[in-house]
Parts: sequence; structure tokens; C-alpha cells
Amino acid sequence: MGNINLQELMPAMLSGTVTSLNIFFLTLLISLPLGLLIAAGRMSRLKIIRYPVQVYLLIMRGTPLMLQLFFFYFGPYYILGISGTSRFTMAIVAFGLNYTAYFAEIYRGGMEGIPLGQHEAAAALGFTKNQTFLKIVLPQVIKRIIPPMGNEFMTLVKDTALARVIAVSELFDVAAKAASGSVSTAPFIVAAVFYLIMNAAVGQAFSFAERKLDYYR
Amino acid sequence: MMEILSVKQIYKAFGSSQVLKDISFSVSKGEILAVIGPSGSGKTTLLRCVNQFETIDKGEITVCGEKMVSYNGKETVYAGKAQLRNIRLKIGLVFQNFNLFPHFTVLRNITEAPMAVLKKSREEAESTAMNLLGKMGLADKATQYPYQLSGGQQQRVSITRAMALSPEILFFDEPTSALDPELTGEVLKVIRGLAEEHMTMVIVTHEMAFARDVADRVVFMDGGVIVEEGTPEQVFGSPREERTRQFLLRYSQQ
Repeated sequence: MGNINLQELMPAMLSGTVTSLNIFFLTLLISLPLGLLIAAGRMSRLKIIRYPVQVYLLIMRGTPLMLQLFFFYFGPYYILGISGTSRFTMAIVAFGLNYTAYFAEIYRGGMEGIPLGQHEAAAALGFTKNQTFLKIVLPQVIKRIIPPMGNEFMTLVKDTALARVIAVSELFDVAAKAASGSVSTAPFIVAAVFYLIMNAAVGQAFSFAERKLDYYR
Repeated sequence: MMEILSVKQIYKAFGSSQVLKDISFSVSKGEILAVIGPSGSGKTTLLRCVNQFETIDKGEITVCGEKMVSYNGKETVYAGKAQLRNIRLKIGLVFQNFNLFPHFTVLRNITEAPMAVLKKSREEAESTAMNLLGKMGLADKATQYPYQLSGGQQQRVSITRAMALSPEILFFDEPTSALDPELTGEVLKVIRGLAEEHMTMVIVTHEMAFARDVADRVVFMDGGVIVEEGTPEQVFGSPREERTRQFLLRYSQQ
């Protein structure tokens, strides 16, 4: 395992983990609501809204997240001449816009899976469009999208490691630096355990939510 | 007799196929109209037009004296949003596939619209709902979810849900077509019960014996037109039109 002092390593690894968790939660804070808006745009009958949204989805899902991180970090300087953008902020922007695209498609899948009859029954009963969405459609969409969302959340936990490419010192960055400094694989193993713990928690949260919504079919 | 629904010379096409041609009929208060006809005859489209799920190309629809849509010689003119919604609340609709809300209990399926739309208090909505459920023989199902019920029970709940808004007229879109034969009886019994209370109803149905028995008037549609209209005795007993005879013959052979 090489010559490494775990007691010295731990504080750095923990602070890297906090950074990773910050990326994780801030990305969700941006992407979960914004994804809903983008999904609505994707389903719009107006081409002037739908087409740009489709282009956005294609770019975000069709290019590497790593490339997007570079683009958002270096783009402001090279393209616009703006300097001094924070690495962390730009990482959040890239993650946020990227995950918005994936969440939007999951929302859309969920909404398109709601039978037309649900909308018609609500309309026949006099519900407004907003009431229909909030009371009838959304609760059913949430139940349907829990499994694919669980996947996305777990992927996000692991994707936070990519922030390293623009030198955000998150968990993996700390581990990689410690490993090369000490000629040891121990930091990687510690990082792996940390990622596993985070994803185990995500998995638990999702199976709890699934059980909670199991009262109807 | 007070006219609840009046449909005058309506036309509807989907692309190049003309689905409704010059359809006119009216329904008076307390009257029960059965609409029969083969698949693709336009019955369901007609019902969807009256329920604002489709727009018509030409013609006039009036509900309880309120003009829902009229025709000025060039194009149809629909009432404003608020009035359309108001008209919608006068019409109850029972779907072939029930379309209950799966995430709500039976009780909430029934109380949600009175509370959210008519702004009734929970107490009032629930007591109305329990009352209606009692009449439908479903009082013990109030706390269950739709998936826990049989098809016949689900359809009775959906009738209850429509009745909870006290509509002036109730539309049924083939209410027993999605049910196993042994379950149609309980639904037809409920509709019969509403008939005895003089609920105004339009019933699109394939249940000929039921239509004959419960309806005051029968409309036979085929190919987007009303071929024949009359009392059940006339239409079923001595149909004037060859097409009606053919249709009834095919049904009696099944």
C-alpha cells in the first residue's frame, strides 16, 4: 500500500467529499426545477420553442460532460474576454445545464406515459390546466420517474469526479493527488469507499421513496 | 319541456374524412337518449364534440340555454373560456375506461372536483360523496384505491364522481364496453337507478336490450349521420330504414 499516513489524509479527503456533495446538491437544485421547464418546452406545440430546446438537448446529451466543463471554464475568457470566473461556479453551471437535459427527458417520458384519459377526466370535471398538472399529472409522473431518477442521481455522484478537469478539488482530485504524492493506491480505495457510501445513501433514499409511493398502481 | 342540450347541424372532419355530417338532436330535462350505431359511425366523436374535446367545423351546440358554439355562416364561434368552463360543469361524463385517478382514494376521486372546482368545504364534499357512494352500494370502498376495485366498481365510482358535481346532463361513452360480461349488470343497474330519479342522460351504448329498456328516445347513427331517430319501440320494433334493420339484425345474431 506504499508509505501513507491515513490520519493525515482523512481531513483532506473529507473536505474533498464536502466539495463533491456541494456539486451534487447544487446541481440537483438547478437541474430538477429547470428540467421541468425544459421538458415543457420540449413538449410545446410551438416550433419556435420546441426546436431550440431540442438543439439544447442534443448538445448537452451529445457531447462529453468533460468537454462542457472545459467549455464553461475557459469559454468566458477565450470567447468573451471575461477573466476571473470561479472554477467551482463554472463547474456548477456545466453540471447544472448538463443534468437539466437528462432530467428534462426523464420528466418528458414520465408525462407522456400518463394516459390521455387522465387529462380528459380532469378537464371534464372542470379542473383548470394548472390544477390538472399539480393534482393529477405531477404526482403520477413522480411515481413513474423514480427508477430512472435513481439511476441519474447515482451517475451524478460519480460524475462529480469530472470537476477535477478544471481543477476543482473534489474527492477524486484529492485522492489522485495523494496517491501520486505517496506512491500508494490507498487514497483511491478510501475514495471508492466514500463514493460507495454516498451512493448507498442515494439508493436507500430512492427505495424509501418507491415504497412510500407503492400505495397505488 | 326545458331543453338541456341542443345540437344543430354540426359537421366535423378529421383531415379529408367527414366524421359528422349535419347532426341535429336535442335532449329535454329528464329525458334519456340512447345513441347506437356501429363502430366508426361517429357516436364517440359526437360525444367528444359536445364535451369540448373536439372542435366542430360547422353548426351550433347549446347547453341549458347557453350557447357553447355557433356558426356565423363562415366559421364557428366558441364561447369565452369562462363560459365554456361553466358549460362544462353542467355536463357530466362517464368514460369507457373509467379514467379514475389512481393516486386518489375512491372518496378523494369524488371529492376533489367539488372542492377544487366548486370550492365546497371538505365536510360538504365528503358528506355528498358518502351519500352518493351509499346509493351506489360502495360506501365500504371509500378508503380504497381504484386498483383494488373490480371494473364494475370502478365504473360505479366514476359515475359517482360525475354525479358529485350535480350536472344537468350526464353523458356515457359506452360505459360497459370495457367490462367483463358478468360486471355489466351492476353498472347498468346504477344507470337505471339514475333513470328512475329522472336524471337527464345521453348514453352511447352497444347494449341494445338496455337501450331499448331504459331510453325514452333512440338515435341510430351510421357513417356520420343520424339514420333514424325515434322511440325505442319504433327504432327497435319497426325500424323505418334498411340500414337500421341490417344493424339490429347483426346485433341480434351475435
